Amino acid sequence: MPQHLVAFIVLQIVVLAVFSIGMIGNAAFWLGGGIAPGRDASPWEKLRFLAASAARVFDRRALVEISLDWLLQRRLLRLSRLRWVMHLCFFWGFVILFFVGSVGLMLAERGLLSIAKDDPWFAFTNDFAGGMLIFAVGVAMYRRLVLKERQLRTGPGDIAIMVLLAGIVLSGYLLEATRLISREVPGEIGWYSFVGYPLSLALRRLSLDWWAVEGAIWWVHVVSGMAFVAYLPYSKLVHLIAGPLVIAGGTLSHGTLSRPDLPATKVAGNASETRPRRVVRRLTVRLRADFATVAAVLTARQRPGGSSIQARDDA
Amino acid sequence: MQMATNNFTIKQLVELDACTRCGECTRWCQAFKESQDEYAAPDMRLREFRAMLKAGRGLPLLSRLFGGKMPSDEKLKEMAAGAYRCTLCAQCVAVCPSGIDLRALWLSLRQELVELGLNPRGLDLARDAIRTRQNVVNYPNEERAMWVDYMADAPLDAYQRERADVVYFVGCIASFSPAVQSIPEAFVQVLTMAGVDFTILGEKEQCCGFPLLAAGMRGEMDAAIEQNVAAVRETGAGVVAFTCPSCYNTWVNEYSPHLPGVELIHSTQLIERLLRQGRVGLRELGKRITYHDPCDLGRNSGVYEPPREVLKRIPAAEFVEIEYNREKGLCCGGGGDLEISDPSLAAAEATATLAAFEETGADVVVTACQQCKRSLQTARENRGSAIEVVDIVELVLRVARVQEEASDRDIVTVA
Repeated sequence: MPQHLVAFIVLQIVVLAVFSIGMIGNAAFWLGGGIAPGRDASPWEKLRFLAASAARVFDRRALVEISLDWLLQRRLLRLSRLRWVMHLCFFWGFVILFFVGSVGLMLAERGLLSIAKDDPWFAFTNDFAGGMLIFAVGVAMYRRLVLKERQLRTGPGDIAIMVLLAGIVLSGYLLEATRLISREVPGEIGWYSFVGYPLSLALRRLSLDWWAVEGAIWWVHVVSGMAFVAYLPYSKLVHLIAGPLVIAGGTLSHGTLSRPDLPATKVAGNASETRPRRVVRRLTVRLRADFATVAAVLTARQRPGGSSIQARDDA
Repeated sequence: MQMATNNFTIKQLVELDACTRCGECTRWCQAFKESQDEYAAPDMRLREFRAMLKAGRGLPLLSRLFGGKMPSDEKLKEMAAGAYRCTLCAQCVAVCPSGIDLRALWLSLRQELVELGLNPRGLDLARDAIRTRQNVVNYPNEERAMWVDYMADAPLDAYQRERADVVYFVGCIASFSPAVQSIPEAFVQVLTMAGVDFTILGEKEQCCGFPLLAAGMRGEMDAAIEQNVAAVRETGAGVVAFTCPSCYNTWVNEYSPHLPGVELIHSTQLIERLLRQGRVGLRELGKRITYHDPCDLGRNSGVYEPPREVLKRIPAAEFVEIEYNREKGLCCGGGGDLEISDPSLAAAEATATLAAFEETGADVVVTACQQCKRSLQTARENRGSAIEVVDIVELVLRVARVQEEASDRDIVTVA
C-alpha cells in the first residue's frame, strides 16, 4: 500500500476518533437534561421520550415543516434575503461537497458508485458547490469585518471556521486545476470544471512538476477538510447537528415552529390561525390521542388481569 | 459555584448548542437596547450560561475543550442580574432562525439561579407575599374584590355568585392597583350588557403564579393552582375568562391539564365572540386608534387577530397599525418581573415603546393588558404625551350599547 494512503487512513481514523469523542461528549451533555423543566427523569424515561419523539418524525406533515425550516431555512428568509441566500449557500454548498465530492468519490474509489472525476455533472457540481461556499464565506466576512454588524461578535472561532471553509474550497479548485494539468485533460472535457479549468490554463505556463504539486495540494485539501470535521463538535459548528434536532423537536411538539405550543382543545379558538395550520394542529391532536389509545391498549395487554383502569378501580 | 443541568430539558440543552451566534436575538432585544448591559443581551446570556453548564463536566481540560468555563463569583452575579433584565417578551424566540425557544430557556435559567440564591431580593419578597397573602402586591387577599365597591351600579352580590357559566379571573394587578381597576370594572359591565352569566371569585381567587414562574420559582405554584382550580370547579363554570394576558397564558400552560373540558378565553376573544353574535352593539368613536400587542397575549399565546377584529368593528374609528405589530410587537417593559428587579429599565422600555406609538399619529393606543396599560400610562404621564392609553375593554364599554334582542343567548354553548 502506498505510504500516502497509509497516512491518509491513519488520519481518517484519528479524525473520526476526535469527532466521535466530541459528539459523545455533546450527547452526554444533552442527555443530562430532563424531559420536563425542573423534573428529573430516569434513563429509561429519557429513552422512551426520545423513541416516542423519533417515531413522530415520520408524520408527513411534520416532515414538510421540518423540510421547510431546515432544508430551506424558511425562518431566515423571513428576516433577511441576503442572509438567507448566504446561509443556503453555506448549507447546500457544504452538503453537496461533503456527500458528492467527498463521500461519493470515496465510494466510487471502492467501486460502490460509478463516478469519475471527469464526468461533466460531477466536475460542474463540485465547482458550483465550491462557488456557493466561497460566496457565503465572502458575505460572512464582509458582514463581520467590513460592515461590522453590531450583533455579530466575531471571535477566533468564527475566523477559524471561515479560514477552514475557504481553505477547503480554494485548495479544491487548485487541486482540480493541477489534476487537469498533470493528466492533460482536454478542454472539451475540462471546461465543465468552470473554475478549475481556467485556473489550470493560467497555471500551466509555469514549469513545475505538476504531479508533485498535485500531491502536495491534495494533502492541503485533505487536512483542511479533516480539520473541519474534527473541529465540528468542539465549536459552534455543532449547530450543524444540533440545529436540525431542535427544528425537529420544536416542530414535533408544537405542530409548527413559528408559534408557541397551546393545548388547542382547551383554549378559545384563535382567529389568527390559518386554515392549513388549524388542520395540522387538529391532526396532531388526533394523532396524539390515537397514540395514547394505542399505548393504553398495549400497556393493558402487558398486564395480566385486565386494563389499567380496572386495576386502578380494583385498588 | 456549580450549575446543574437538571432544571433544563434535553431539548433545551441541545438548543444551547444549536445557536449559530447570528446575534439576531440581541438585535431585536429591547431590554439590551435600553440597558446596554452585555449580560442582558440574549446571545451573550446564552453563550455564558452554556459555558457555565458545561464547566465541571468531566476533566477540566476536557470540559474546557467543549467550551466549559466557570466565571468568577463577581462575574456570575453580574450575569445573574443580566438574566433578570429581561421581560420574557419572547421577541428573541420570534426572530431566532434556529427556532430556539429562548423564553423557556430563560425560565429554566432563572430556576437554576434561584437554586443558587442569585435571584434579585425583590423576587423573594414577591414570593413571600404570594405565600402569605396569596397576591403579589402583599395586600390582604380579602380586599381582592374591593374594586367592585367603588362601582356606581354594582349588584348586591358584588358579582360573586355560587354558580355561573363563566368565571372571570381578575388577576392581582387589576384587583389591587387603582390605576387599572377600571379594567375589571369595564369588563364586568360589558359582560352584564351582553347577558353573560358570570362570577368573580373574590377572595377565593389567588395569584395565578405567573410572577413565581417568571422569577424561576415554578415549584412554588402548586398551592395556587390547586386553590384556583378548586374555586373554579365549585362554580360549575365551563369557561374561565381573563383580562390579564399573563394569567391567561399561565392558565393555558400550567392549569389546563387540571381543568379538562373548561375553556380558557381572553377578554379580547370573548368580546369578539359577543360582537359576532350581536350580543353587544357599538356606537361611533370618531378617533384614530392603534393597537399594542401585549407579549403574553400575542407572541406567547398566539392571539393577534381577535383584538383587531374588535377594534375594526367600532364604527367611525380609523384603525392604524404600528410598524412593529403582531410577532414584531414592542414590549411595554412591564413583563417578566422586570418591574420588580429593575424598575428604571422597565420605565425606559415603556417610554421607548410609547414614543414609537406616538409616531403612528393615533389618538388612542389600545392594549389588552393591565400591566401594559399601567406601564404605557406612566410613560405617557412622564413624557407629557397627548396619546391616550386604554385597555380594550374600557374602549368597548365606552362605545357599547345593549342589544336587547340577542341577550338571551348562551355564551357557553355558542361557539
